[in-house]
Amino acid sequence: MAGEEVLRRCMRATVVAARAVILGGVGSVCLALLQLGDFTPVPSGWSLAIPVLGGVALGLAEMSVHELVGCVAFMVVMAPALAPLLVAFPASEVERNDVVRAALRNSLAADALLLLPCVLAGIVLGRWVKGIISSRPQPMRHTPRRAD
Amino acid sequence: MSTRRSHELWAWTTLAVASIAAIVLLVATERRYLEYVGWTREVRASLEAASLRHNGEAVVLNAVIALEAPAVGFKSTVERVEFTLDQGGRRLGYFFTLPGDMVVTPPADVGARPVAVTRITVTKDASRELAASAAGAGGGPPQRAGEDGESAVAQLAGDVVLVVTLPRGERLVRVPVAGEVGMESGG
Repeated sequence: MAGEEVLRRCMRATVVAARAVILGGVGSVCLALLQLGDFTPVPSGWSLAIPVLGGVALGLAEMSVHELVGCVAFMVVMAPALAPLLVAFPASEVERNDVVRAALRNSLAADALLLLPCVLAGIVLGRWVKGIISSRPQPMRHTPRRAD
Repeated sequence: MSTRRSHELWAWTTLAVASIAAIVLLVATERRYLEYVGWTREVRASLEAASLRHNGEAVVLNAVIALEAPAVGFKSTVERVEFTLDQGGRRLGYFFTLPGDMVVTPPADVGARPVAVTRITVTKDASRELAASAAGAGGGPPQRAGEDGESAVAQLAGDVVLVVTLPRGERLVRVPVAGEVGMESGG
């Protein structure tokens, strides 16, 4: 029985970690798009819809509050670390310049602050939608009547 | 299907949609960014001919600059040319062109060639800048050819400033240009 419980907890932790990693990736892409705003085919503000969608996904999920907080914290830490790789990996000479790179990092830190309210708004939206889905009348199930 | 499983399914679906949207946007953006980075690496400016012609009190600078840029679909326009002239370690002046000082001749067939050559013909009255520079430095006017028995030249160093139109904005790109300017005495 204890082994089953450990396995269940491990699977649970894996699912939460997978969500956090995906959300971190989505967040870093969003930051990269904000950095490359001039090159984006859609207005760069629209890229903020992506972390909102990620937040909705977290809000809809069956997660405890501390799991949610962990996911969001992971995203806020991971996204600014990954975004420069996405932006500057094919670096030109300008991006190799230390001063430019420092400016990029500062800008990323500022942009990362934008992610947090977006994800939180998404979580609230997701929880709201989840409440609506849950409050829908469930189909009747055949349950045996309790004998009085 | 239980409500709990339904929520989980919606959650994963939404996360998948967010991830796919992010990847699609990033690929589209990164491709244009790489084109831009490649473009800024390939673009070159060279001074084909330049002379500073003394015509009485007036000094007129004539220059032809060839701008080679890969044809990758970005619209670029020449904003101005900025440069300094130095002669024998002495700064003759700092110059920049106004719209009336230059004629930009675009390439004839951009689509057919991988690299398009735009010619910029600069004709600028440089008297004022040269006089101001000479007064500030306490030196005389620029040395002309034949004054001391050798051909006098000045060194031009500066940038062709381009405005590149990107999908959602404009960026200034500076393309360095350098070369020698012959000093001529006019009639």
